Amino acid sequence: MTSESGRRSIRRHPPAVFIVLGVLGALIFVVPLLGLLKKTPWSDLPELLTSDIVLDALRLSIISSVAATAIALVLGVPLAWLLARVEFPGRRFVRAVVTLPMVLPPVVGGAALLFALGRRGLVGGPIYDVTGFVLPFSIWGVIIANTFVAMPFLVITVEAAFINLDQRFEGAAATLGASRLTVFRRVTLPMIAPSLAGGLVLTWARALGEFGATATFAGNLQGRTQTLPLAVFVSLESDRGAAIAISLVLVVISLVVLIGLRDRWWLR
Amino acid sequence: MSGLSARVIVQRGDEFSLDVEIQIEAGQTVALLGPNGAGKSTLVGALAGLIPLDSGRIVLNGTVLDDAQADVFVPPEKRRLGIVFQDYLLFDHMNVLDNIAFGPISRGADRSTARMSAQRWVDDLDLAGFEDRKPPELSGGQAQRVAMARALAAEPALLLLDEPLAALDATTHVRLRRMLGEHLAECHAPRLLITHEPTDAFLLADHVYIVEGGRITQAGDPDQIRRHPATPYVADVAGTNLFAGVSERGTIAIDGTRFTLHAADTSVSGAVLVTVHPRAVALHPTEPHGSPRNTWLATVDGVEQLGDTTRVLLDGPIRLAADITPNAAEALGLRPGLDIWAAVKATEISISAA
Repeated sequence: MTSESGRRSIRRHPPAVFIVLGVLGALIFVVPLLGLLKKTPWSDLPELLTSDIVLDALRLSIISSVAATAIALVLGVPLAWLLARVEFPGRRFVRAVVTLPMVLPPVVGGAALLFALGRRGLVGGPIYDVTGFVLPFSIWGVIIANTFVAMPFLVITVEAAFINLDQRFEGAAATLGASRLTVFRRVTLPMIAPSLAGGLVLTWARALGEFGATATFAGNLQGRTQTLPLAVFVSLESDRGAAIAISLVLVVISLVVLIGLRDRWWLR
Repeated sequence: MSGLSARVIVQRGDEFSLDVEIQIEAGQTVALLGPNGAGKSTLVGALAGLIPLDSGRIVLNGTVLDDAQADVFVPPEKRRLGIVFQDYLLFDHMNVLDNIAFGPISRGADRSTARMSAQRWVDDLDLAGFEDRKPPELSGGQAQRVAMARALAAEPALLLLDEPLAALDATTHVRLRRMLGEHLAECHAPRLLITHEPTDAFLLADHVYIVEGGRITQAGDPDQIRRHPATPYVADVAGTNLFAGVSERGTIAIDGTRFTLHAADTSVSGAVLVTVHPRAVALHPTEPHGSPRNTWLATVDGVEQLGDTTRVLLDGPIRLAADITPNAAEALGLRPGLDIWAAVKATEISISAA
C-alpha cells in the first residue's frame, strides 16, 4: 500500500472506542444541521432570501462583523503586544478584564455598554450633551457590541503568539539597525501571521453570530440594527420559513469561511 | 581611538557572573575560547546591546556604547554591528536576498541599492542561484553563508561571530572555516570570534582570550597559549598539538620541517591539518619497539604541572606537548635539556583537509 507521497504506509485501524466517541461527538454538530435542512422550504427559498428583512440583515451583519474585526485588529494587536511584552502594574487585572466578555453572558455585556455609552451613561452622557450623538440603537452600537464581544478572541490569540515568539529574532533585526517599529512590521508581524489570521477569523465568526449584546445595546430595528441572528429570532415568532432561510445563510457564510481558512491557517 | 575596548560585568541570577575585559584593534580578529556555560553568549548579548551591563563600559571607535556608571546606553539598532548568531536567526519569511538586504534597508538605503549590495555578497559567498530561496530550504552550510552575508552587508563597525561554525558537519566546517578566514581578512572592523573549538580559534584569530566560569583565565597569541596553557581546561582542549602538512596515503610531510608523521587515516590527501592530543604522546628513555608507527628523539624544553597531569614541552624535529602522569615524569627524571624518545600511534594522528 503506498500513500500519496509514494512511501509505503502501514494501515492500522484506530481504536474502536475512539471511533464510537468521535462519531458521537461529530453528531452533536451534524444533527441540528440536518434538522435545519429537513425543515427548509426549498421551493420558497429564492423569494425568502430576497425579502427585505433578509437583505437588510445580511448587509448589516456583514458591515458590522467586518468593521468589528477591523477595529479589533487596529486596537487589539497593540493591546496584545503590551500585555505580552510590557510588565506594568495591574497587568493581570487588565488581562482578566479583556477576556471577561468571553465568559460573561452577552446580555450583561450589552447592559454594561448601555450604562456606559447610553444617552445618560458614564461616557455616552457627555458625548450626547456636546454633540447630540447617540451610540445605542444605531449601526455604531451594533459595531461596538460586536467588538466588545469578539475582540477578546483576537487579543488572546495574538498575545499567546507574541509570548511564544522567539524574541532573539527581533534582537537580531535590531542589531542590523532596524528601529523598533521596523522590527515589528518586518519581523514580528510576519512571524505571527498565522496566529493573527486565526485570531481574525475567530473574531469575525464571533461577531457574525453575536446576538445578546447587540439586542440589549443596539436594539432590534430592521434596516438599522437588526443583524442576521436578530432577524432569525424575530422571524421564529412570525415567519418560520424566513427564520430557516436566514439560518441557512448564516450556516453557508460560516462554513465557506471556516473551510477556506481553517486548514490554511490554524492547523499549520 | 579605533577598535573595541570593553569591560563587561553582567550578573545572571545568583549563580553566575561575567566579568571580562577585552581589547580588539580595527582589522584584528580576536577569539574568545571557552567551554559551554563560560559566559560567551552573555558577552555577545552585552556587546550587541541586548543585555545591559551591570557594571563596566563598552567603547567602540571612541564612542561609548554602554556605561553603567555614567548611565549611557546605545540601543542595538544604533550600534552598527554585524552578528553571526550560533543558530543564524535568519528570517524564515524572507528570501535569501531580502535577508541579506535587511541591514542596509534598516539603515535607510533604498530598496534597489540595498538589493544591489546584497547581490554582491550573494556572489562573494557562492550563493548565486539561491537568492529566491527561503532559509528553511537551505542546507546548513548555505544558511551559514547567508548569515555571514547578512552580517557583512550591514557594513558593521564591529563584527561578532557567535559560534559561527558550530552547527556544521565536519566537511562543511573545514570548508567554511577557510572561507570565513578570507572574508574576515577583508573586513576592516574589529572582529570577535566566540567559539568552543580550539582549532577555529587558533586558525582564525590573531589573539585569543580563554574564558572559564565568567572570567578570562588566559590571554595571548595562539602559539603562546598552546605552548603554555595556564589551566587544565586550556591544557586539555587548547593544548592540542596542531600542525599543517601535506598528506599522501597517510604519510604526512609537516610544513616547515623535514619530518613526516604516519597516520592510520589514509582517506585525505593534499593539504591537511594534523592534530595530536598531548595525552597520545608517550615518552620513553630508550628507543621503543613495537606498535607505535611514529617515534623520534626529542629534547625536553620545559615541564609544567597542571592539576593531576604533567605537561612536557618537547623540542626536536617538531615542537609539541605531551601530557603524562606525575609518577611517570618522576620515573623518567624529566628536566629541560634531557633527550628522550617520543612515540605516537598512527591511530592517534587525526587529520582533516585544510
